[in-house]
Amino acid sequence: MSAFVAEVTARVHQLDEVAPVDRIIFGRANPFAIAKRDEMALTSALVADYVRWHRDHNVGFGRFVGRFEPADGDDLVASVPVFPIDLFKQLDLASVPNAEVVRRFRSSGTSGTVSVVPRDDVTLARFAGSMRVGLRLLEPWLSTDELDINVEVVSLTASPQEAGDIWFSYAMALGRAFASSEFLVQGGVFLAEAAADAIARHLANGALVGVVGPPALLMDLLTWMGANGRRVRGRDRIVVLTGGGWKRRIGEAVEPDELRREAARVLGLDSLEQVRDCFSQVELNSVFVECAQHRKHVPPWVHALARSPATLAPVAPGTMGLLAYIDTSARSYPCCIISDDFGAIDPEPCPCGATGTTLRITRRVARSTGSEGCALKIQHALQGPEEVDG
Amino acid sequence: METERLDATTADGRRVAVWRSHGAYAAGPVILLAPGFCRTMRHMGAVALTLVQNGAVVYRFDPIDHIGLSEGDVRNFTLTGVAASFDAVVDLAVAREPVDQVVILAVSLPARPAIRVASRTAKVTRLVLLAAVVDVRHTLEAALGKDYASWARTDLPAEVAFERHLIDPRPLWDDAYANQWADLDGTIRDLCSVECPVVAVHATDDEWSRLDDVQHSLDRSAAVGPRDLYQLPFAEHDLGGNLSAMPLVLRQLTLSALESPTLETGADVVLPELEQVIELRSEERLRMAGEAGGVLTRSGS
Repeated sequence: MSAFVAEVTARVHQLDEVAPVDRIIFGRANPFAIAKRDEMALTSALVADYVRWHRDHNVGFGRFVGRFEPADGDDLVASVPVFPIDLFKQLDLASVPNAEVVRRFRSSGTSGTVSVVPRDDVTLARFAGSMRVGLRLLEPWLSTDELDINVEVVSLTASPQEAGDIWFSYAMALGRAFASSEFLVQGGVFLAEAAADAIARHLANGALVGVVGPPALLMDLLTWMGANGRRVRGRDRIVVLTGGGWKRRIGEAVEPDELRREAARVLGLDSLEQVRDCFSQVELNSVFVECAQHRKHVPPWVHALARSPATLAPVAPGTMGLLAYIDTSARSYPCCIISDDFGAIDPEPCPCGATGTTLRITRRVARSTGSEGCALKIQHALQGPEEVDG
Repeated sequence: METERLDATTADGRRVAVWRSHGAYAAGPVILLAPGFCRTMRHMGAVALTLVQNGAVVYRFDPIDHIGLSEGDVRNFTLTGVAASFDAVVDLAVAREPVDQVVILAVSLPARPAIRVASRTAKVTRLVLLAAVVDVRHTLEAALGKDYASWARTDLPAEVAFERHLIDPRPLWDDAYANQWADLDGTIRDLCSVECPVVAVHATDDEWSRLDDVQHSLDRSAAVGPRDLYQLPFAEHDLGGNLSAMPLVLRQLTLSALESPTLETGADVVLPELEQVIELRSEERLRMAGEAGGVLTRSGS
């Protein structure tokens, strides 16, 4: 007699899916190796989902986009309504409950009032992930495999404790998620000698040294090292990453190539390729890092477009316009923004071989009453007519 | 979370560096954490912190002949060395804590020796495996780009690089053949001797360790003891680097490791905030550098 015996197997359970944008940010595949056609389809799909999500979770944004219905297609991303970053100075644009907001980050405030941007853990994690993805463009000078193993970052910024809610300093300090970091702005004072000591010490210990900070403080460091006989021979063991622009010290700004040459001379670098700049801003949730050709690459989860300052219509690649972004990594606020920066999308693929849109940022827009009027109309939509003063 | 440094000793007298972490209460379920290959116990900080916040006492360790603080160099890495390290830390934990049994939580390659350890001792009450390697030969081929297991011993190079660490494949090859580490069948045989519950948390897109292999090995041993597989759709092998998936993974690992005696019915897992995790990473990097007697280097990271 044979008895039926049920086969015992493992119980299988499904966890929540990793979101599509996280598959790109945190996946093994290089986001800057996606073919152009695939990249456009990918960005389009991400943007469609992104706009729907914020429309459904953010009443003001839902009112702003109105009947706009995202649909797949090449024209989608250009048709998504975007709003000026000025609104971050006036409205709380959170798309998540207050309890999920980790911090409300502020811009550095070089002029007038500051933007306030709410971020949750997911949004912050994605920003940190975007930094790591951007660093792939530094290969072969820096391998992301090596980041948490043999890299020492000499950061010409404040510690995260001192940075508080100021986004630039906080964002720069997020690099400590991936690499050992030392912060050389203490009590608002840049410690050039300590920075030079740290670079020399880490080189002597065989580490790969990352010198990270705003260009003005890098120049201060280079000047101090040159004047005090502290030049080093970094060869291929130093990479320099600047960000944040010259801000209040714009009057002292030097051309990027001059800064690169000075860094290479004082730090004894093998190549000018070891000095890169990167771009972000408090309202954006990703970092655009320069490649070896010194072009800033936009990762595929961000759509960047130059728009006419008069009509906000997209302008042709290569033509100057107001830079607008849809950054699908920002969960806690709708990042569908028109920035204050003039620039252009490069019309040709980058000779460095990495894919992704590249852009040039040239200058900041001077404010006019015309744009304020435009902003007021959009604020009206985001906030609701009954809530707008005057 | 408070952390103290301890040392365990293998049966042949080699030193295994251990970090013991606990929270407000020094006693609780005891969980051993083994990091993935070419990671160290500091890379398990987020998992340790979460477990401690939920009432566990955690023993993290670096295996011998590996990177980290224990004796030996990763050049001579073997899975038998990892198993010996597990044995030593299990004995240390049971000797020091008011418990007879411990939970093992192993990540990636050390999951394979963890299964063998659980198959030969009653001191392991539960086995939790994250991104478990069950077919060592397949994983090494995927990670190194070559199937060295199919090579003749005499043809093997003196060293191969993995994430910039140099490893001599010959002791690894010798050990794999002598001790049946290499293939999936060996894993299934060991699992069929593991009577305690086994829980695997595994990404569906793990190219280094196929989900099908993990499920197959759990299915084949399910008659021996409870087996659960939690699938994480669209994630990959290196879950530690996925900051966004981290809360989901930490929550499931904690639920799997602690089960109900510690987590009251209906209570949810207390998860650390991202900033806490990043701070801990910075602190433990410095701690490890300090214990190593200098800065982090390729051999001592």
